Amino acid sequence: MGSFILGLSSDHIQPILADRGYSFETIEHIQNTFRVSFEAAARSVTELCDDPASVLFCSLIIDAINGNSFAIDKFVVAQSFPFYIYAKTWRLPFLCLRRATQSDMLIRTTESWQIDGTASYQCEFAAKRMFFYVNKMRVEGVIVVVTNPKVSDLLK
Amino acid sequence: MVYRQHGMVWKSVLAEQLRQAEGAATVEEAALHLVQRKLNSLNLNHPPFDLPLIASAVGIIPEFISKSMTESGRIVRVGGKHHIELKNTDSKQRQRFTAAHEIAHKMIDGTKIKGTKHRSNYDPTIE
Repeated sequence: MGSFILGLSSDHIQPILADRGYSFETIEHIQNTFRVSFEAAARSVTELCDDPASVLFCSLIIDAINGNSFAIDKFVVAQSFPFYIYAKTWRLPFLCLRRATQSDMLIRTTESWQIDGTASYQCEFAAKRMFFYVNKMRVEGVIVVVTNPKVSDLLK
Repeated sequence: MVYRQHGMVWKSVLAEQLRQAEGAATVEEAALHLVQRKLNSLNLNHPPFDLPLIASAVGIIPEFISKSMTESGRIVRVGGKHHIELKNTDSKQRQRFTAAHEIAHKMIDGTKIKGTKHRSNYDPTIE
């Protein structure tokens, strides 16, 4: 209900989605126009969009023994997204994560996401180093908008 | 009764009362009706919305207090007046979300709030 008071309701968001389409930039536009956090904008836009899309909030796990890796702290997913995402999934292999940590820019890649050894999806990623909240703590991580997943391989 | 809307679970007698009072099919729809009616009465049509104005319209002092605290925010009644207190280390955007959440409490409860309501363990991972 707090979201509605901030204007994050279908009647305000659907026209923007129809005009701009779903993207990282659209979420940023809503963030700035509605004066809300990126996460609040991402949740509302993603839950209202018809496209298969998701937003991952990822942080770097420092591991001196096994090597540093990225983990999903939380996520939001559109209803039509074709596969399950699990929070705390770690050792994410995406190039966009590593590149985004080394840049202040939005990084775009097209990469394969293998799911549970059953299928591999080719997805478009847009990643940016940003602050977000995890368990009331403000952390710096990488937020990734995932769009256009297409089955690239069915594993046997 | 449990409602799942927008990834959140709405479960309380109050939620069901709100749904029935608004004559809505879902709690989310009822909440939206309630908010839209209030926004329309204030001629607020396009975001960003003026939260202090909305707060004052539901009986909350429009100056939000930013202070050191554990929770993200809370609504307190002091001397018969309702105040919103926000965690001073949270970002402005998160404070704004918390303020909207607290306004929602007052919007639903009307004048029934007797003690302190706060946004702490409600779900800190979700804005």
